[in-house]
Amino acid sequence: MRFVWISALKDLRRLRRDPMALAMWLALPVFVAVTMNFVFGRQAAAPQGRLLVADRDGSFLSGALPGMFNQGPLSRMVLVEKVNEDSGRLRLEKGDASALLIIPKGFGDAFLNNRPARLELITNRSQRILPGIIEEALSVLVEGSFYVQRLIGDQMRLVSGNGRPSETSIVEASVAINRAVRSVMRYLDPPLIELQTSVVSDEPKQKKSFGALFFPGVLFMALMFIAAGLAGDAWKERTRGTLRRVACTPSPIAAWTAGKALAAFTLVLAVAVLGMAAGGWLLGVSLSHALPAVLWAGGSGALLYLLMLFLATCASTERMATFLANLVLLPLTMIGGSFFPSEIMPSSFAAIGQWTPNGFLLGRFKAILDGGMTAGAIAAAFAGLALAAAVSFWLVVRRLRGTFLV
Amino acid sequence: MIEVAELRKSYGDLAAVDGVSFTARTGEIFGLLGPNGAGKTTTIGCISGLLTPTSGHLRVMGHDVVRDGTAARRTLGVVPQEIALYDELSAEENLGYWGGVQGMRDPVLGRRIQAVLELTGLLDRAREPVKRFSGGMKRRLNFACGIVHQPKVLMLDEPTVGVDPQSRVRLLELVREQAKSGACVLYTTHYMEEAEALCDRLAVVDHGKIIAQGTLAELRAMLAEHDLLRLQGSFRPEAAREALRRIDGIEVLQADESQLRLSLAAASRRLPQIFSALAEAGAEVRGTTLTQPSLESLFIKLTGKELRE
Ligand SMILES: Nc1ncnc2c1ncn2[C@@H]1O[C@H](COP(=O)(O)OP(=O)(O)O)[C@@H](O)[C@H]1O
Ligand SMILES: [Mg+2]
Repeated sequence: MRFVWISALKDLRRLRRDPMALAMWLALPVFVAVTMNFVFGRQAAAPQGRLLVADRDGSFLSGALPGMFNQGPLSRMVLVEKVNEDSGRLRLEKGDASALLIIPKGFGDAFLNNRPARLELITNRSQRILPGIIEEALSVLVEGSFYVQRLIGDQMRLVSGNGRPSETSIVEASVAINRAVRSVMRYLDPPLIELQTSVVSDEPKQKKSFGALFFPGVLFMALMFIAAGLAGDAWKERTRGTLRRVACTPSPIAAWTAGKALAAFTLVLAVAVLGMAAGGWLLGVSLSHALPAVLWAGGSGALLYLLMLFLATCASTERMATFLANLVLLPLTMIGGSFFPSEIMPSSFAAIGQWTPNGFLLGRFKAILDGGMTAGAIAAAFAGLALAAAVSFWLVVRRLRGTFLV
Repeated sequence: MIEVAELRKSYGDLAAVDGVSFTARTGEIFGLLGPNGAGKTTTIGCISGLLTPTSGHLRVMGHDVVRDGTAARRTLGVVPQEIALYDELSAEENLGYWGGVQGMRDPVLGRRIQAVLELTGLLDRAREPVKRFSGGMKRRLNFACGIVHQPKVLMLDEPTVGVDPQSRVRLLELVREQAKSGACVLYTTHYMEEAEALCDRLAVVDHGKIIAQGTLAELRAMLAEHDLLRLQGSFRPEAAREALRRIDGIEVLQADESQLRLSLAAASRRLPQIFSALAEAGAEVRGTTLTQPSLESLFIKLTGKELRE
């Protein structure tokens, strides 16, 4: 055990002296994260969704609600079209739209008087991400409206109340509304997600921000790069002769390998903790299951490392090892759902992707993070992970003791 | 003590080590002298447990290397041919790691690191990353990492390759000190000057076989105080051999169209006789090199080629 610890410490020290390597492994994932944030935060090239709105209420407010999709960043992402309910359902079934929003009768009234109101959103299952955006935006709108109601409910009741309001009351009200909307918009525009966690609403659930959708994939991309980068170090140690030198000591090669896996685990754990903190802070990733998720990420990193290490030790030369690593790294990362989340991949790709090692681990990670797994299922997943790691470890040590050493 | 009996290691058809036997005793420096590819590194690899021998018996301090490798390696220090260091880490950290994997712990390890740094003259650069070290400093640290745990058996594989003269002198002194303090030292080299200056006993190896073994004096005696004479020019090999056979006490080691190698006593006095005999045989001599008896000449005598060819 002491040999394991000594070896891990040695590798972590070496990593600390070579921060450029780590920076290089993290550069692409961070770049992707920033790009995604840029694209979907400001949506230069965001996908366009079509939102059908069936308004059964026909009030001043129900008219205004879909109009809010025409403001700011959302207007370029979502096209709003008013339809009647039947044709709306028909078109949605034909896949002609991303979602259908049904505003029930009495919605405006309920809203003004601070009674619970229910909006119905039917999303298109064949599209993966656009309905998500709409759902997300809508929930933010609803949350926003909730505040609007709190702030300016009185004035709004006045304006849309019974009888014609006086001109002065309209002016008063619009000044107040204007001020309130502006203060609310500060929170709504661009960082939509800011409001995400805060509000009560009885709207359709599953409110995951765009950033949060991309976050797990980007984290696992970082894991893949770290795993591949660290695995290359085995060749460095072989070429320099330090591996052979270890083999001449009483410390077993297995301890040296376990030390390397432990170092990988520690590094990935640190990256996952930092990533998770950043995700929670910047992207609105829910952190209620952060602890098991972070541990899962660490374990996944160690397993991916051992798999990449096995691949590296199967190569006959260092150059071959680099070539092999590059050969599998990008395709696996891509199909495993790290560049594009499996939610927006064509379903056939997503189906393959979930059986890649990283795709599979990523799938469990998302489920753990979302709280979609019972404690028993999580424990079973960890046991499976440990078993897979043990098998890969055994394979790697067998290679290292054999032809790889000399 | 290292006991090697009938050691063989083959790679496919190639016998890298082909029936090597020797015993290196406690307190002595035993040398393995041979050209590149002779099988020195392979021999050390088998003794250290890095390679599995094809056949033969190996014992280090009484422990069988194949059956009880861990116990054998606990007594062993190896200074490999390559500079096997972590060059992102400092000298101190390298020593800490290599001492640690040998099972050492603080505070003994800490004290020993300081002592070894002092010994190898690296104390003032102890905290610097090794990648900033000169070749000679790296070689000294490579050596230091092999002795940090005070091994009973120390094996050094060409530890002075690519080292400046100053570092080389210091390194050889350090090796001598190890033997004096009771370690059994196995030293491989292809520099015969080193072997002559350092080793109490040695084995001359070529193509995986030991071609001569003994103390320096014993090996010199094999040459019987014969000088080595090398003649260059143009020769008819058969005629030259025939002509020289008629002169007493000359042994022809090698004869081809451009070169003759002869072994003979008191060569300088017999040069005229040799020249006239060769002239009669139609030879033309353009260059002459006379070498006093040495390991080099022994090697040439035994193998018909130079050590550094
Ligand atoms: N792993 C290997 N595979 C095949 N041949 C090898 C291997 N290692 C060494 N050899 C061969 O064995 C012979 C002895 O090599 P080595 O022990 O390194 O010699 P030395 O250390 O005396 O220079 C050489 O001919 C070398 O090419
Ligand atoms: Mg060698």
